[in-house]
Amino acid sequence: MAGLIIGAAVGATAFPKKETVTQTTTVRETVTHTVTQTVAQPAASPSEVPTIRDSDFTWKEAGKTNIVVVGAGPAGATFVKTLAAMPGARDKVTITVIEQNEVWISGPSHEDFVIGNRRLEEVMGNVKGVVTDPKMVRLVQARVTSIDPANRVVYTNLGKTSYDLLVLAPGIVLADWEIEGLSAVQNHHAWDPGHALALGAAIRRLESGNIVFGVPPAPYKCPPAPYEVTLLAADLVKELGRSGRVKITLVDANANPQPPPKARIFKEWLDKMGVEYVPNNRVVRVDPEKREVETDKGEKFKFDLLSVLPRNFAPGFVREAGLAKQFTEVDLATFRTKAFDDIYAIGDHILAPYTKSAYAANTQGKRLAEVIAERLGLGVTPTTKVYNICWSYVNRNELSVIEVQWEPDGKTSEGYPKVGEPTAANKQRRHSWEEGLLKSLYA
Amino acid sequence: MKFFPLLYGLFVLAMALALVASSKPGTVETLTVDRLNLSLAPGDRPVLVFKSEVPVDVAVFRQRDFERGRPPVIALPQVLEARLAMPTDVQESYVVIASRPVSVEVRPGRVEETTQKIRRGEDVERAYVKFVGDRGTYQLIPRVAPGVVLKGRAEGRICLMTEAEFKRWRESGAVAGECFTGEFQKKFEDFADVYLVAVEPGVVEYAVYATLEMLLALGTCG
Repeated sequence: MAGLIIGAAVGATAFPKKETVTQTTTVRETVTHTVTQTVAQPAASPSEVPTIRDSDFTWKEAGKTNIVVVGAGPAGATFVKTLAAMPGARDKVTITVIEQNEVWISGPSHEDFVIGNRRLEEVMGNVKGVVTDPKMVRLVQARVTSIDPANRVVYTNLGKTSYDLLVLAPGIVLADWEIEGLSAVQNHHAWDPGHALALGAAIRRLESGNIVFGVPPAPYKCPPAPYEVTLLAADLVKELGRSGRVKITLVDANANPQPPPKARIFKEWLDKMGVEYVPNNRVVRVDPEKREVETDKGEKFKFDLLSVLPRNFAPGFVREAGLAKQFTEVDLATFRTKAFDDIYAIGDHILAPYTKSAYAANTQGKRLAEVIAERLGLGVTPTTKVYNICWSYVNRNELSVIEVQWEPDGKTSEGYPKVGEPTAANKQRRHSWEEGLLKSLYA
Repeated sequence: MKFFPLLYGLFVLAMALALVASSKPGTVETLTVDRLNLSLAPGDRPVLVFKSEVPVDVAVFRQRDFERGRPPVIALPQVLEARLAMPTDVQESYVVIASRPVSVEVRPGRVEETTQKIRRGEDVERAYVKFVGDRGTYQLIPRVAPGVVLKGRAEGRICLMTEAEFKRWRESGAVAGECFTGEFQKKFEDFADVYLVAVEPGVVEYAVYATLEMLLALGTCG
């Protein structure tokens, strides 16, 4: 009931009741579908948002392309801000951003929360920051429930919207359902800020016993993170003087630590920190009573504290729309989905060689803005190449670095990847980079 | 899995016989051994080539797993011929155990060379295996990805099973999955582990290929 009241209140704020005269017209875009769309009042002032009418909050103005963006993380937010900043965009598009969270907490810092290197409030951005021009961009805080690509409709918990072009940047979901018994135990990983904090607290509480970390088969979001979190946990245990009493095991579905160019560095540090590294073993089952995980090879490991990352998937509404099996299938140069030429997809949920990371998502957002601008006739040619830089902890103070750039066909550019050995100077570089990214997205 | 206890027993025998060889991927030589120690540097990708006139069980262990009695990385029952690529990004030592002396050749190679070939559009063989498929003999093909191609030929009948299908088959004997007799080919579209199960006896041979499509799906540089 409380949720209903809050939902109604949020809905009333986002979509104030107002009489709107609507008309219906048929629009043929340069896409494969011909659709009938509702046209709302064109002259919205900066402070106004379109009204819900018949559960519909479509923002369509005559002569403009109605772009709906799902997700305001690094991929979606960058796309919106880049496109909105292009000369002439204001006359060509309306952009509705649908995002369920009010704030974005920087993903790369989740590891910092485990060990207490950073606080949440230091790396938090308000997603309202994506609305740089209210005449062109609006933010709808809602949760997407399904997509109807054939009729170009996105359904949310606060009504539905039609679109001319849809950009999907919702991130990934963790396939908890694939690991039998996992839901019956506490499993704190670093892919959620709250879990990351809980993991750090649980490590501090553990006087003795076994910590088991689990890594899924690649690809997954932030490839170095499971190894970083394991090493940070080992560092914390060492700081607490419990190295002899707390055993750390890292069960890895992959043959070597990820990503491959950093495998040697991680392996050396795992050995150095006394972590038992068990590659080629995927966690498939958890026995809540015996407090034991079992792998696909039949190996069993006792745990007092569990931190298993399940496989990553595109969200259910993307898969149910026929856009993805595990990840969303796209053309690598344009990010246009293989299933529908009026739907684009960027970020961690796509099937691509690009690292599933904040920076790679950021550059995908830029490139897609160029692709869409070219399609809309804004005189732009796509030139941005997808790029990633990651600083990875090997202990509380030292981080290695990797840089990769990809050509539009998905192959890595000449001279990449570049890998740097762990240094203390990389810690400040990482923090400065993260702050810069946050400001560019949400300031 | 009756294969593993047999191998452990044979390991003890192998130690006693001390018919042991060590090899590095920098040399091409053919040895007849039932135990081979293999030491690899980061970036190595040697190909191990096995040949035998009679069926032989072959298992490849990481040295550390071998010492701790853990399962092998690769387990191939009743092999007549096999070529196994062994890529590594870290310093790694392997122990290869065979149930009887088998001819082994270590062909040197590097991960980077292979990656370049794939980027040029060439398909690269990850594994080739020819084995005697008695009813119920199975082989795991681990970590397939979109774009990975499987080609082969079965004298009897073999079925390609997903993990869930394989589990059901082991529990109930219910045959499921895609089944083949004669030539077969399959391009994978998912990230998964799959099993090749002989349901009617006969010699089976298959090869698994890495492709550019696979490389672009995996994204190994991140």
